[in-house]
Amino acid sequence: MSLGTQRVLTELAEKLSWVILLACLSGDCLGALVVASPWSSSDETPPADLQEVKTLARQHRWSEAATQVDALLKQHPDDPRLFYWQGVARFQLADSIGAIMAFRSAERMGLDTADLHKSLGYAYWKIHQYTLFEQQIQKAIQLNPSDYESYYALGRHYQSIRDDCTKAEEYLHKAIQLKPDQPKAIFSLAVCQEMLGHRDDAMATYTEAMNLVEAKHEKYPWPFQEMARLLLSQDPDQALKLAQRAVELAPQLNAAHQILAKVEDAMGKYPEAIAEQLTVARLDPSNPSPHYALFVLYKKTHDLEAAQAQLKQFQELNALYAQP
Amino acid sequence: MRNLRFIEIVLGWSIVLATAGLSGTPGAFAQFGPLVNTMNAPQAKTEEELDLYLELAVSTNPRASMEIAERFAAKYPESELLGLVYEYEMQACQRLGDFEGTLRAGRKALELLPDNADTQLTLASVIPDHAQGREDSTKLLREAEEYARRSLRELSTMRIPKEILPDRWKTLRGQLEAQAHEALGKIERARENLEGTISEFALAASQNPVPQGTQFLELGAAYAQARRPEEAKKAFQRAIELGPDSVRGVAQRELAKIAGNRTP
Repeated sequence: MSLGTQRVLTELAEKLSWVILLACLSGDCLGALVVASPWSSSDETPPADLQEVKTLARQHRWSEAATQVDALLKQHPDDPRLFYWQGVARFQLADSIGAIMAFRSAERMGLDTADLHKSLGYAYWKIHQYTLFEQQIQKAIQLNPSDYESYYALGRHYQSIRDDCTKAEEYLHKAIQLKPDQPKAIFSLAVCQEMLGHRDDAMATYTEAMNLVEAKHEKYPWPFQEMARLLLSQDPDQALKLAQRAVELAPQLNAAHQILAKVEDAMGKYPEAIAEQLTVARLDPSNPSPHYALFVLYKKTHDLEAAQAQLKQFQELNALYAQP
Repeated sequence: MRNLRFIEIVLGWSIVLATAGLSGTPGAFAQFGPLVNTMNAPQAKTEEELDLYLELAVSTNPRASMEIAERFAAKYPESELLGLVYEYEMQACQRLGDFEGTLRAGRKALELLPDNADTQLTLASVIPDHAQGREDSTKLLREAEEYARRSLRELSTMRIPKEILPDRWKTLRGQLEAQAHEALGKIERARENLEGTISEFALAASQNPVPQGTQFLELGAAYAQARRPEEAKKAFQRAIELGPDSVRGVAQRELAKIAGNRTP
């Protein structure tokens, strides 16, 4: 890890719960992406009854889709596309192991499509098999070099799991070339830039991501949060506006409340900061950091009893949960 | 048979997983649930290696599981998944009542994953059931005690993934500690240390946040052996309340014996 990356990481660890960001980045990597996979380009000539499976998939009726595929497999046990669809349905039903086994059956039977490799890769990622994930996404890229999702997924992966922002940047740039209007990819690029020590570039890229979120009316708070954090020392009023906007976009996201609390704390708005940190603690009950922040805030407001109670909670949780 | 089903959680080696509701097949996928550190997850080097591992993970036939585990160990001796493979083999041997196999596989698992509390507790529970009458009984019981005490130490300092909420962990940890004390009770019983047996079974029964009929049954039996009928009676009554039926039946017979002994 470069010194620049270390510096940024240290800064982030101090100013923001980095693990929350990583979890969020990682979390959505396999959320929206696989939902897109039902429309396989390889299925141009499916058996007539496969249409029903696709219809169910489009409607996200995964349990019914799985039942339908299983029934079809009894009639067509040699059709690899059915195993592909079995894998998709199982993945959506949170059965990553079943999904992998189905996708592998399809692969062994000769199916070799970008969608299959991408879906198999996502299923590997879900069970933390990162080496195999990378291999599969590379295969998907070979078969379909113009697929935004594959580059984006690799970019996010190298950024959040491999801690290799140089490589992550490379993939994210390719993803953005293919789809220039995706705030998530642009935001991820900004995170990489920041981690590599390019603060000004990162700020410009966060801004670009924020503009896209607003233009597309998306509920994506992360660029606002990160920009608020970066602006905190130089322009607290603007930081406050951005942090409030992040909370507005994602009121159930603990990290958004955490940034807002930090901004309010820095501005001396202690009651507001306390309220936000209490929200963080409620939304993320295993996170020790809001309790420490509350300990400090209650001390500032001379409520020593509440401060001690928060310190105790912090110590208990801190001993129990691994820290990033 | 383990009183607490570790199919719900596997502990140790910096891993705690709560697979129920995550994988659809509780407990089978040790490293695939929430992890303390996903970056440290053991990696299969090839798809074929993972295929075989998954075949083992989903196998419900213990004989097939043993065969797959042996095949895996022979084919992938350097695999990062091997410690977990031996753990599966240990569980399969246990289900088949193969004590030597359980012991052998469990020891191999602990060589590779020394902090795996699941393996430690399994061996701690199984050994005293088979140690009596053997030449190496004393040595085996000492080994079992070491596993039980190590698991208790492990549980007291374990870091857990944030997906497991504090209250949930409190319950899980209580259950696991109760299992460790139950194992220690069995070890003391095999050593014919009645006071030690009672003390450990009492801890297991009273501290378990999900009270188990079997643990009260064992406690009742220890009290009965120590000629403490009132305490035995209470423990048997609690075992009858908690069940299951097999426990209930034994507890009722034991209660009847106590009552019979009192009848002039």
